[in-house]
Amino acid sequence: MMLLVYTLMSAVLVAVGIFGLASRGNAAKILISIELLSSGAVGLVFFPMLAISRSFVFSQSLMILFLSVDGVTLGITIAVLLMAVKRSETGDMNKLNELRG
Amino acid sequence: MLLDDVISVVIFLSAFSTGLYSITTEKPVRSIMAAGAALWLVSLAYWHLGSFSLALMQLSIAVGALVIIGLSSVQSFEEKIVRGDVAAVLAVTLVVLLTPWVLALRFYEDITTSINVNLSSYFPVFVLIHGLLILAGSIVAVLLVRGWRE
Amino acid sequence: MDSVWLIFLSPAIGSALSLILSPIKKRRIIEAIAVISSLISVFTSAELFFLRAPLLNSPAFIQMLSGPIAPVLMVDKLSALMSFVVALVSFLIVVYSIGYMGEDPSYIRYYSLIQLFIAGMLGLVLSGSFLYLYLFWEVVGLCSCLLIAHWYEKPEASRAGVKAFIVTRFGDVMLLTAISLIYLQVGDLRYDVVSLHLGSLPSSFISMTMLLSLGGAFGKSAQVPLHVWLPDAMEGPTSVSALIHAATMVKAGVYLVARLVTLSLEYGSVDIVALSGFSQVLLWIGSITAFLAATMALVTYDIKRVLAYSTISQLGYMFAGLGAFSSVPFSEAIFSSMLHLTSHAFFKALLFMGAGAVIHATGTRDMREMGGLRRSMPITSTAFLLGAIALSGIPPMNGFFSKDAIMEVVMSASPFIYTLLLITAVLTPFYIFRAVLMTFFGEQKRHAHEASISMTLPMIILAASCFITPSITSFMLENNPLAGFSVDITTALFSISAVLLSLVLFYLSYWRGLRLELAFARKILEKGYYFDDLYIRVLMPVFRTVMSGISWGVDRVLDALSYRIADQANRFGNFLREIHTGMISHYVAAFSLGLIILLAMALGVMLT
Repeated sequence: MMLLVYTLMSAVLVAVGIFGLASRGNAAKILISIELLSSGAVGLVFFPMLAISRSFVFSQSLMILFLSVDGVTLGITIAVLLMAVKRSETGDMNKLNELRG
Repeated sequence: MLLDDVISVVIFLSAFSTGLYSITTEKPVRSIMAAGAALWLVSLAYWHLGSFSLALMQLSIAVGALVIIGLSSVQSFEEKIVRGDVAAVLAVTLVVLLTPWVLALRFYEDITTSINVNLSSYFPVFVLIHGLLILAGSIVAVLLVRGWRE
Repeated sequence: MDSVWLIFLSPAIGSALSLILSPIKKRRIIEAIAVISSLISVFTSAELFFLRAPLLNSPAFIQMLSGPIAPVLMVDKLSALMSFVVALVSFLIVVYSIGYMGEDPSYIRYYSLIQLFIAGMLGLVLSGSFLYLYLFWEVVGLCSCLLIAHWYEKPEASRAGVKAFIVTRFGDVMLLTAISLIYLQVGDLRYDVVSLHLGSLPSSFISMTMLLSLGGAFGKSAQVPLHVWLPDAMEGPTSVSALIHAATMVKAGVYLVARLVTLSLEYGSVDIVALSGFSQVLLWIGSITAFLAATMALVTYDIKRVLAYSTISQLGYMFAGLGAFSSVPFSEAIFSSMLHLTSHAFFKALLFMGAGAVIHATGTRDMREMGGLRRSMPITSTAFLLGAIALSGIPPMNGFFSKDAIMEVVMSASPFIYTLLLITAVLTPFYIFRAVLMTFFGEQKRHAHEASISMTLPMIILAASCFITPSITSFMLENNPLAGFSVDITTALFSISAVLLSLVLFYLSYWRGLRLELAFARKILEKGYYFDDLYIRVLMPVFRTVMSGISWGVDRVLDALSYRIADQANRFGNFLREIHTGMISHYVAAFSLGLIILLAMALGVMLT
């Protein structure tokens, strides 16, 4: 029951993350959407894995890996978005609809 | 285990609402803070399950994300930080940082005797991480209070 | 190589040579080439005729290379006779052309086309396969039209050439259909193969194929209703008219029918009942054409048109004679028709040559402008008169014997047809002596001098030959030189009475002023029974409307199709283009949608 709820929570976080990415927003919104998305994705994998197999160690190790990757992604994304925001005048990512520059 | 279920439902609802709030609100700083809160709640979920390492990882992600995003957004948007925002950031950061510390103190035996990971040998690391996090959070808080402008 | 090939290759080479040597602007050289090439044809065909063909019991096939489409010649009595006659008359006309076309500036075009024509005609009669028959058929038709329009600066001449082409085209299409049908059924077009298979084919198929090829024959030989091109073809030079429209090309249709009859009855084993419809058509169309054409010849004032109508009429006789094959032994039918063919070739060529000499001397074709030329052109008038006598069927000229042969077989076939032909035999002397009278007797209206030797010599030779053509024909076909001269008493009496009646009427009309009131019919006759009007005023507009309607519909369909397809493609492209907004959030939404779909599919797969 618990695992089910937590799985659901992760799914919700994924949905929220996608929703945030798909809707108009500035750079910060994009970043946090990515964060939420990846956290939710990790959870989405972790909780069902717990439900199925008893190997807690393996699951945890895997998730640690994923989360660290998530951190790296974050760093790169921040760098890119910072550059983009600096180049364009606004922070609205949707204004960046041309490949120019 | 009714308590477990209740806790999980509470965490679920909170995470959902904060996450939703973070992406629907207009103000950048608030959305960042709300996202931080959601991620912290996820970390609590991991803690609840007993996977402390994962909880810590999630926590570090959350805080790090918050810090960096907050800093950069402040820089990008040149928003005027209002006092309410500073207070919110402070509060959230403190809570995020202190919760595991408190929890670890409270449930130390459970940690060490947990079925999953023998955490005793990692405890110094645990402390170290939290120390760094506190440090970073303090810097952020100071900067925010000072109204750091470029 | 067998010398038989030279018969038609020689004029072909001569034609090409005339064109190649055209930079040498010497008329004599070109004329010499033409004369020599046609003379070679005469010699080689004479060799064939006198030395080889009489020995043949069954047709000889001479093939170059091998295979179903290789050039192959068939030599039998029919083709030997035809090739000899054609070669001889062609040679004489080439000699005549030297005088007639002596001042024409386009002589190179003329001589090369004439030789090409001769080659085509000889190839046609010698061909051993329907493929080459059709090939040469087309060559001959083409040369005919080009030569009709030799003086293309005259609009009437080019119109006449086009008209000839189109009218014969109708016939050619039918012939082509027939040949294709034969090919589809038999798989091969060579005469020997086809005649072997003919017996085993269903009779409905055979009669359909035969009738279709009759269309071709009628087109080329100007029978009703495809006769309209021949009178207009008189716009061409008279030597062309003599060669093509009197002596050779128009006989190609008769030859085709004779060839078909021999293939199916003599060499093949076709049931004669299957061909009964075929013979009926021949009889009726032949006799009706003969009659109608003779009536039309009565009212025209153009000397060449008289002869043109006369040709159509006499060709009708030949077809009628052929059509009798279901009532008499077919060899008799063919013999009678061939007899008349050879006689007609000679005397009609003679008549045309005479007319040509008159036209050349007086500069007009209208007989009302001529008169009394007997005194100034004695040789021409004598020759023309002899030709007229032959045409009328007066003994001892060849026309009498050949017409009698046809009447003999036709009487066994159908008394009604016989009567029709007899009436025509009354009309024939009338119209030809009318022409003689108007041209050579009376007062001279225009100055004229006798024709040159190149024109008179062939006329004399032809006139002399007219006495012996029955012998030539029967020598080949019946192995008996005298058979051509035999007549049946009954028909002979009727024929002679017809001629006498005609002469009496003629005398009464022109010397005693007996005027048969034909005014009501004159208009009809002058208009050629309104055939031309039918074609031009009725059929052509109908055709044009139908065609333009079809093309309008097709255009609409094609436009709509291509336009609509292009439009749809355009719209779809535009629609797709709008997906690329450049906005990141749209892209995210799009691929998350795709992701959801994929997951759902995976889920579905997993669940089933």
